[in-house]
Amino acid sequence: MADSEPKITRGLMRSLNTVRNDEQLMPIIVRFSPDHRVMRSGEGIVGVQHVHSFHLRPFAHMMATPRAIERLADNPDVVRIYQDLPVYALLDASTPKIGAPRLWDEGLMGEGTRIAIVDTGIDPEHPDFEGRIAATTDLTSEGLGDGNGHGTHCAGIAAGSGKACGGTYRGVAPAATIYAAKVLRANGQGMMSTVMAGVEWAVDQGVHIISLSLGGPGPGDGSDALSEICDAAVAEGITVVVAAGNDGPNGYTIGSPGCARNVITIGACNDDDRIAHFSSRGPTTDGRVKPDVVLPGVDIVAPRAGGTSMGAVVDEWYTSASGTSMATPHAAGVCALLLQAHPGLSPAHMKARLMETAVDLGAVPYAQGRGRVDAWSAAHTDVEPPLEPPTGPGPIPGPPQGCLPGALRVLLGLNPPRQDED
Amino acid sequence: MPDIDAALSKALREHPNDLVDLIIHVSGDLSQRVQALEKRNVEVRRRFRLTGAIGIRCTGKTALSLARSSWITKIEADGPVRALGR
Repeated sequence: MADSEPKITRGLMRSLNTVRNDEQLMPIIVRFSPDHRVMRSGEGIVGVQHVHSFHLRPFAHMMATPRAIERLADNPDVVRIYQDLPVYALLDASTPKIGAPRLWDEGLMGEGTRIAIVDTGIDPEHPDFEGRIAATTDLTSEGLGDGNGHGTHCAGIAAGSGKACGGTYRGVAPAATIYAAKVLRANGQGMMSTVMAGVEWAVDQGVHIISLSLGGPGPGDGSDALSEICDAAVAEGITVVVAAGNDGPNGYTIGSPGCARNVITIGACNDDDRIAHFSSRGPTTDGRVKPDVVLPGVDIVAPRAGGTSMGAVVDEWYTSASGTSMATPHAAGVCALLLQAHPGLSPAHMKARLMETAVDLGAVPYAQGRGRVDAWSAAHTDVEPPLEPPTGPGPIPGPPQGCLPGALRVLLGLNPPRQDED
Repeated sequence: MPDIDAALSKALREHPNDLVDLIIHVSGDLSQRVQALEKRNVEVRRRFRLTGAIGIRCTGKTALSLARSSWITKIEADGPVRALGR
């Protein structure tokens, strides 16, 4: 290491600058020079609590006050001091799970494809989108920009470059062009008609893929106006991916537009290929199997919009969040890679490729659809589109008695607007 | 008569003076239908060329009178949606 390089890392220094209490103990990892074992415990330094010494390398885990950290840095036996940070299931874990890096190695990164994120907006200043946001629109009257963080997070999963992290949290299609329609307000809520307007805007922009990480209360049968316009976008030749919802694990919990017939409805799994507890289950109220496939949607680290705190903040540029919202832009990114590999791939072909090559996770179809997407197999397997819509696995119990369409329940005051869950 | 959920119809009857956001599906030329609505003092908020639908705001009473129009094929509530991540 160069003599001029500071012993305290930049990230730790930033944290030290925000600490107001001199007695606050901060978790650190200290790297010592190899031949000074005695110093590994930090003994003799006021404000240091030794936690653990590692034997494979000369590192020690400690708790120390800001002043003690500075004293440690003055010690010639200390080589470097790092902040001990929480770890998460990373975007860099979810992308290998679905096979994206294998496609990157083949030169497929989404170049030439256009993805619309219809959501809470996007932070145009985030380094991970530099030079690739082609157009944005605000349909909420709040103004452009992302005051919530959800849209930025989704956009990053689909197409972030990972520039602000050296590529660690690179999105699935890091060379795709991004279009962002703001249809949800900073509180993460909106109206069907606003989302419909966002879908039409995306169609008018000539995008290839529309990603919708939003939904209304379930259950639905796909005949509502929002589902209908999503199907209309598909009829225009655009692949539409939609979140299934987060009202699982009960059945009949897929609302609009997840219940739309011709979209690709996305449920969530974790990095262990288990269906997320919260992932909404089918069937639709007209008996169709949904979701269609699942993708990772638990503890996903992706770009953070400036000034927002959605999810669990990792650092200035990234935050971790969960939901079928996070699974859906994974699908959008995969579709972009497939489109680059097979220009002109129709939405029906795209859907068939994803479903026919999905990995069976052993869950019921109403939870996993056909399984977890395998992007590499989807790109390299020729599949014909289905002639008939997929049918369910057998006799289906009817929806719960008194099951009104979700939007109507709200109109009648039977279900107040849902608050964000903890 | 347009397709309108019985429960929505009931709600409109029970709250005739309350403003409600609806999405209506129309036949024929979309621009002409928008003009017809505006002549009836209906607030037109959105129009959707892909599906021939119009987002409106009006009272329950007005909505029920619109339901008698032959060129309106469906009336539904403009419901809430939310982001699905946290």
